Amino acid sequence: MIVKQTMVSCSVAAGLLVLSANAAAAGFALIEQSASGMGNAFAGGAAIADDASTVFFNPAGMSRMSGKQIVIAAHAITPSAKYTSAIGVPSGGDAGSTSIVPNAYFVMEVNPALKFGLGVNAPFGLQTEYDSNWVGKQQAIKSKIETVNVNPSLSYQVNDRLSLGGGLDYQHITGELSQDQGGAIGIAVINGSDNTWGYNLGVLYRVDANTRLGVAYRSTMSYTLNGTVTTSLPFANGPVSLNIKLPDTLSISGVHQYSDKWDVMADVTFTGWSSFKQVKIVDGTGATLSNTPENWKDTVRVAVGVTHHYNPQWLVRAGLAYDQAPVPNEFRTARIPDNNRTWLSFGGQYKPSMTSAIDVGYSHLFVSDSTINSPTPAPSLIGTYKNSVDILSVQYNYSF
Amino acid sequence: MSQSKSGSILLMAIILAGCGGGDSDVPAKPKFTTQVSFGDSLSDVGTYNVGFVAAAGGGQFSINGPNANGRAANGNSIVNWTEVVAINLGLPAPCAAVTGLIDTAGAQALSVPVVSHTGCNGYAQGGALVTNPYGIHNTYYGTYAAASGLGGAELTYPVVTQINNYLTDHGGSFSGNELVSVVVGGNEVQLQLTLLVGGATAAATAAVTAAVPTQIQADIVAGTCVPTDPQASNCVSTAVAELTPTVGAAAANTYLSPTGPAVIAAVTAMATAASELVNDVNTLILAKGAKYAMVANIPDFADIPALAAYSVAQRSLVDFMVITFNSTLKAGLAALPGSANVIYLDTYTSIKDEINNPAKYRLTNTTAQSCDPVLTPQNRALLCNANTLIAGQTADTHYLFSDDTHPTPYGHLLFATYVLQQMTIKGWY
Repeated sequence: MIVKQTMVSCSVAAGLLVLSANAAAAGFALIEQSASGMGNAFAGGAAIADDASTVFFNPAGMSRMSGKQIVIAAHAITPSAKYTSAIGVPSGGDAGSTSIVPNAYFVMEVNPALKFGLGVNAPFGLQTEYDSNWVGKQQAIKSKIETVNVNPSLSYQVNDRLSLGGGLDYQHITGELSQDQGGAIGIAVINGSDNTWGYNLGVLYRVDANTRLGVAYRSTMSYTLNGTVTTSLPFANGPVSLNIKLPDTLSISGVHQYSDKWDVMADVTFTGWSSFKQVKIVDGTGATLSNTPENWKDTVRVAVGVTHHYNPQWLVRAGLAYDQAPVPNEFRTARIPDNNRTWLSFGGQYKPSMTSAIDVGYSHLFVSDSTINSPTPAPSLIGTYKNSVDILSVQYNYSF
Repeated sequence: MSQSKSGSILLMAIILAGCGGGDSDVPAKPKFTTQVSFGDSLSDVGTYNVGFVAAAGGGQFSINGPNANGRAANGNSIVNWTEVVAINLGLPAPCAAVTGLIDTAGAQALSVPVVSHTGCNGYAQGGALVTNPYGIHNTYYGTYAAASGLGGAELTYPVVTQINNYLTDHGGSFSGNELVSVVVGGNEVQLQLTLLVGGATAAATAAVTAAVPTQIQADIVAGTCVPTDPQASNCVSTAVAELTPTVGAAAANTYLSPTGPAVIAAVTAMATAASELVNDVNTLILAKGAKYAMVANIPDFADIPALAAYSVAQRSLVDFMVITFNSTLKAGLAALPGSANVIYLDTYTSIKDEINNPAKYRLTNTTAQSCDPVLTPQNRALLCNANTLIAGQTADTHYLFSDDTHPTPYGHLLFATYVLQQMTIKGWY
């Protein structure tokens, strides 16, 4: 019965969420889980716990909530990835396009020490799509990964300093990959989906009246996507599967109330992208249809931020982050032409009433130019990507 | 408080232990610099595209000329599977390492000087065998069987010579960045069939000849022939006609018995050819530095149009010869110290599946030839082009066969697709 309900929740969530974003955190992780955090470049995410989005960032933070709160947020993510060959010829157009990533959180008090929360969000997502006749069409045309994560959580306040939290994650993934196989096969479109379980844990520690430290961990998510490959050649069509292990993350955050007006915060997040070794698609007999080495590396993201409380109704935020890309230069592919990025973020909050708040955040990601050296399938992709990402987030909080 | 701290430390330890980590890296795909092909007509990209062959609009063993496979960067029409693979690897279009024709008959009218082409690594030659220099349509091929009448002008350097020539042309070794392919064996079947047919014919002739005097006497007694001279020479043809389907056929069948010495010799020869090929791959390719070698087995030869008139038993014999070669080759390659650097291309299974399940491959015909036997000189793919096809077919035809043995450009495309698939499985593509 519990499983059935979860499945229903997942279906509803899938219906609500249109997840098709070029990842705005390195790799294809999506850190865009709140507009409040966006304004600080998500610095201090596991320690701030100012609203119900802490269900994602650190479930222990729910101990700071009282009553009930709903948070609904939406993020317009506009990535850009433009390929230019080594001899200066652009091709493929802009592989990025604007996508909307929503998320929602709910927290309620079971008793003063025990809180329950529920998050529905998308921790991973990716979409790149090139012109169908671009020079690299035999390596990639469309790459799309969508996830929906349903995250029931509990927090328990051990004492006035320490809170613990944890949650279960039921996650659904769908993927679509297409490329022109050339020759007799033509364009191959591979679709697949799967569901899996994970968990997340968190600790929030109040050092003193003005300082909090938070640690949050989200587990790996192991999938076997099952689906089909469709081509113009019947013999090449049929069932396919793909094993993929999405990484775990560990965030260590701190926030300090410097004065009545100023908060400062910082964050370091480790992501275990080294679990992502290859994209290997096999057919129903187990034969490999496509195998792309990825060999990603573990990454570190560091962020610092500041919040100015202008008055009880208004506050403004700013943040700066450096986000390592997991993609080694020699293994960069057209599907994810990722590189290190620097976040510059601004945002603010307006409280129209004691029970509601509206947050807005904006970030521009300065992404280093990416080199690509991928000779096969020919024609080769040897050139440079110019990348950037813009993100605009809005959020509505309602307490009752 | 101390319990909380311990708990936090333990939690951190668990978290840090769990975060990241992973298996060793997946090897990067190789970046090939060159494609080198050895073998026979299935990989020949124009050894004989000179002289009368070029004048007839031929040159490759398929339907020559433009087709839906497209054109390479040099403007050449893509016909052969090696050309398809090259374009998918971003390599230059393969070209014939040697061109020419040698005709020793009569006025040697078909001869064209043999020329080596530096930078061209298409060493495969139509008609080639593994070790024997006198392949199908070689000017000396007829030596093997008076009945064959197949002597021609083709060079047919055997694979062992092709590889040695490559080594001579390239300082005695491979760099390790070449994609090397070896596709040979079909002509070994053809050679053994020629020998068997010749032997069976000779056995039948001998048996009939030996039985003619007795048959003439019987015919005279029975009144079916009235002699017109003391030697009854007018009765010979009648006796031969009577004896050929009986005594002659019996002698031929005995000669072709699966347990007979001739067939055993033919099957043994197939195994020997495969063993020689394994040895060549080992000593002349892998031991000389090649890291990426693909070796194909013999296709489903028993089901090609050329053998359509054969009896079921005869096709079974052919199949047995093919399987003998293939199993010897497979086992031999697997046992090589450098076997990890070899892809065994199971052409037999691939083509058999195409023949048995044409719709899966968008093939419209897998039993008939698309080159018109009347319009195509010698009814050979080497001399077939869009102007010599049967009515209604074009160079883009989805027939599997061009002449009665070789694939169409679309058949080559399907084989290239299979090859690229095997390279994908191996992590080479």
